[in-house]
Amino acid sequence: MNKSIITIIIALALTIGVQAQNDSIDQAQFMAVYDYQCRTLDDEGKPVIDSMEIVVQVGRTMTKSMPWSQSSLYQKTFEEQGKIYNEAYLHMQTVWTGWPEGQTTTRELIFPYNFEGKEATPEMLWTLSDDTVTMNGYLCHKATTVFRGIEWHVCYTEEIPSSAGPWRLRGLPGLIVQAESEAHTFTLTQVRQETSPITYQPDPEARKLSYKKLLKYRHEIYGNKQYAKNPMYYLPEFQDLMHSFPDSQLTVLTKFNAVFLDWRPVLPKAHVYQPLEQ
Amino acid sequence: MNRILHILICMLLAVTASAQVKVTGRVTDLQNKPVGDVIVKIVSGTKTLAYSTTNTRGEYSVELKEAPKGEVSLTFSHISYEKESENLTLTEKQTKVDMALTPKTISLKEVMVKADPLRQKGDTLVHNLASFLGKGDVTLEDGLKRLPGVDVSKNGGISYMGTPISQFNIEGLDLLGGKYNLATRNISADYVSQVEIVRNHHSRKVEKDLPSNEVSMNIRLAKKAKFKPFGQEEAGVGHMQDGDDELQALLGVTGMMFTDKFQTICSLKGGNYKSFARADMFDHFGGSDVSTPATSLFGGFDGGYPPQGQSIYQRNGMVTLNAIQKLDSSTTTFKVNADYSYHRATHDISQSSTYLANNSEYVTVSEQTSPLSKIHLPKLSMNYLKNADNVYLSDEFFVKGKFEQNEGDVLSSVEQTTQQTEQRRRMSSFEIGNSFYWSDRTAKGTVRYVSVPISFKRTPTLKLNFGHDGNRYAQTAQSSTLKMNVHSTFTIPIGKTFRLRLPVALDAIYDDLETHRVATGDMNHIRGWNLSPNLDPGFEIHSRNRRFYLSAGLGATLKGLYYNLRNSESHPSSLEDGRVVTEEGKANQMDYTKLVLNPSMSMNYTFSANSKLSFNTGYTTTVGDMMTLLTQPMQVDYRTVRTSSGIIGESNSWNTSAGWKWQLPMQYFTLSIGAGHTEGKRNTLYSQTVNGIDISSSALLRDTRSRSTNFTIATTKNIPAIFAKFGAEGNYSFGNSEQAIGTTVIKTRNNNYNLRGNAAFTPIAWLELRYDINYGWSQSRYADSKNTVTSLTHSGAIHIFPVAELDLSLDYDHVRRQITTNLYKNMSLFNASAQYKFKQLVLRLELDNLLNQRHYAYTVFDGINTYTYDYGLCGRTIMLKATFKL
Repeated sequence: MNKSIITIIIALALTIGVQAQNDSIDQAQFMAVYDYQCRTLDDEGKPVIDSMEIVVQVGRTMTKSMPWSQSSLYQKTFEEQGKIYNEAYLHMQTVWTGWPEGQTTTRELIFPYNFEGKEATPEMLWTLSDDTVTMNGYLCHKATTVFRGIEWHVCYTEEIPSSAGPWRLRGLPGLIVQAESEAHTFTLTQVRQETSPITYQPDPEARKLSYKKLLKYRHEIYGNKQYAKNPMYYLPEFQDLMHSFPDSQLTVLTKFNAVFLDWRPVLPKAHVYQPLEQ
Repeated sequence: MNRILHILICMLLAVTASAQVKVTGRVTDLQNKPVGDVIVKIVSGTKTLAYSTTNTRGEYSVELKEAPKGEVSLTFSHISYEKESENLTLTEKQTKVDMALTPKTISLKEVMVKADPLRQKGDTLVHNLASFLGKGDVTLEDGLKRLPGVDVSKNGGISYMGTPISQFNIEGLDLLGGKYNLATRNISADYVSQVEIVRNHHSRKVEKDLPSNEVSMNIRLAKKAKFKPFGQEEAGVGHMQDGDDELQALLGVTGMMFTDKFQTICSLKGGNYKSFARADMFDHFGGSDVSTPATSLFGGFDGGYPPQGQSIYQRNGMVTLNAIQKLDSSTTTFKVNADYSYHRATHDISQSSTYLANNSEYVTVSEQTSPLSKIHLPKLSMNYLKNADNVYLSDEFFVKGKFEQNEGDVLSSVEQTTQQTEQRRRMSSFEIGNSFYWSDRTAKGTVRYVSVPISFKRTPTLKLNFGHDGNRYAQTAQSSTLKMNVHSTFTIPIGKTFRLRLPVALDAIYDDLETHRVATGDMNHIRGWNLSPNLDPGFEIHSRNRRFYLSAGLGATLKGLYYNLRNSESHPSSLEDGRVVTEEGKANQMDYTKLVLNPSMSMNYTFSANSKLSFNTGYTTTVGDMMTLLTQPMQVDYRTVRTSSGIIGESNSWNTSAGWKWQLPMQYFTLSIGAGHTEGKRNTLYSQTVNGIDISSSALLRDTRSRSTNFTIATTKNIPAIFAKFGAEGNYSFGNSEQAIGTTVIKTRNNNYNLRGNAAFTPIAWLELRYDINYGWSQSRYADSKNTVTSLTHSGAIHIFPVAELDLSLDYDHVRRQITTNLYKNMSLFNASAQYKFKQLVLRLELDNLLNQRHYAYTVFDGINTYTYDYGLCGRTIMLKATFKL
């Protein structure tokens, strides 16, 4: 039963993927893959390191940073579906920097809805350092900034002349190779010469609001003390919601001990929220 | 006054304003279309003074707080365009510079970035193998040796922080079981992207909440090794000076394929160079050999092997087919492993054994022999496995055989008497069996399992023939064993921190063993059951944060031995008071039942994923088996006759150990410290009697005590920047035991310590160095005698890389060993090699034993006996080998 559901979902996802070809907004010049690690605590207060991969498409006029599962690198096999579940612990957004022009668009799932927030592309004021270090075979320079309350220490390489970086981090005279804050680390792991289209598919069902409001809502939901032990605390009607979904939209991947509703991961326990911006 | 002040402020502002400079402009391509995201920098020397990026209209603006002195350069860089720059002297407040860029072909090195050498994901340490590889490394095994905390033994066994790995997976699937050398020695290092070491590993997912001290390894393959077949061909030819086979040759082909659902490794190899072909078939988890009661009674004639240098003239061949298929998306697999190997080995050995005889004088026996053995090992196994979070089901069927022939003619001498004896042995054994294991976990966390392994093994023929001076005598044996075990348990959680365990088990073994000593008519024939029902109630407590864990069990077993005994035809026997008594013409049923308790307790405290303290203690009672009832003599080799005591032996031991393992993975540092103590007591005492060249061994009914204590410490540290790995290890042990010479009991005390250090590093890009040092000190004392033996071994290697593809190496072993009390022997072994890697081809020229050393000798004290071995070493050998990656 489940297999057929998953097959249908994958078929749908593939259809969406095909449709997405028509929503091209730029052409990638290259693609960078980052490993993202977040040092936090689990629901019992034990230290835990969550990790996932982030794919960044660097175009001519804009950059798209997204979780691995949203990228073209994601192979729609059952084996990889579990990655979506691991990503759910980290709340990583899909960020279109420079789309629309001069603005940054952010999309994310705060269960059970998708949200989309827009803002003028924020400037990051970097302090460049004379320090250099060889990292992953690149000659890297160091730089620091404080972006929305979080202090970042970054290594970037002028060998790849692009001001892009993972998530919203950007604006240096070279590609970011590693970015580190107290709780977060992004590390460049791959550079791929892929000129695939960068897509933006409008989501009519997504709740649209200013990014400032989205950020506030996000902090309220994930920053609540109850969140780690009961990630659905803010949805008292969750059980009803579970029932309202037809069986055909409930998927269980036993290997990952993962439950999906309409292919959206539902966490039974979460990890303590570590905001990337305040 | 105010006016003056106003003028001053205006002047100051003017000065400040004039200090700020701004460069603006527009960047276009050659068609005058704007180019966005161009990085525009003002650079002075190598220092970036300011930078900005162009917007979608190609416009930029770079500001400096104050005008730089002298000339600066304005650079324009973009991933898709050639870099441009222009020299400027910024004297104006605002300067306008437009730039047209020339497109270029992007030539990013794909996937050129090495990931972090090491990442930690909970209990899993993910090593990016490429970060650790040295220039000369070819195989996965070469790479594994460089990982922090990982040790690879000479036979290919992998350990992590002193714990041998319990599972070797490729892309999450256990294709090879213990024969993982097939992977580590045939998969090229550059076909592997990551090596994952999983600490606290659970092979059964249903047990994931239980503590574990196991370590497993998972190999993640590079993309180029997935979804398409690959492999390697090996061919070599060489010459060995004075060898049994002067012409040395090897030939092999290995093919493999790894997809998401299917994996296979197949290999066909043969040769007479070192252990080529045989080495790949080593089973690190055991289980490939067939050992039956008949074969375990009679040891081989091989006389042991030296720990260093090549001593065996070998001819090996093997063929192996291994495949695993996933039957669903992730949890269910079906696996088939089929292999056959042939091994022919011979070597030269001189042995001098000094025994304490009954008259308190020493007897020295000297022997010279060149044992030859030929072994055929076929095996087939099939395994169905479902390993899900809530249910585990495994069923494995296997059939295997061992067909062995030995020749071991001996020239022996004792007190001027020399004797030439012919020894021959032939034995065939096979085993067929099935192992079933089922386990599940309920929603409440109750874990229960049923395990039913059943096997039948038989040695239909085992025959030893001896002859000297026209006298011929023989010994035969045969055995059949049916073994069944039924194990089951329920683990029931009570509350959040307490768990009750109720395991029950029944081990049932039916044996039929018969021995005949042909010349004298001595015969043993035993048939019957060894039944051991077992009840091991216990409990487990863990703290809410699962850092502390305590487990204890009672371990109650009812040992039952029910045998029908027939000794030499005219002397049937029975058991009285636990001892076999021969009584002419009387029936011969022996029943022995005893309740034994083996209580145990273990505790762990996990400070973090990288620091763990463990403590184990347990009391074990072992009751002897039917082997001790073989009261009629058996000719084990040409000069040893063994007679068992007829006493059901019972040994009790209390073992306690504690250990602490600490790691700083990101600093590539590991440390483990351990201590252990064992108190032992047996109701029998091993006794030997030496009469001329002949040795008789038996056991006396007498309580015997032994005691031993050991301490270990081991540490490793890697420095990736210079591809360096350092390791140090120390062991110390002391204890005492008892042994009897005839009826005289002798108490021996021993002290041993061993220190070991190793370092491998790359001080400069074209040079790689490795150095190992091993010092051992061992002392044995009894009565007024004291024997001390020391050994010091250095080994090292120098690798020079004139070009990256060429590896020239010289390695050496230097050994200083004590032969007798005041006699030391020094020996050096040198080997050299040249290896050239060219695309898919690896050419390797090996020169072994450059100094043509032909002997290796050392001494071992076994309590009161002294054995001095002198092994023949293989002569100087040259081998040219080509490995072609398919």
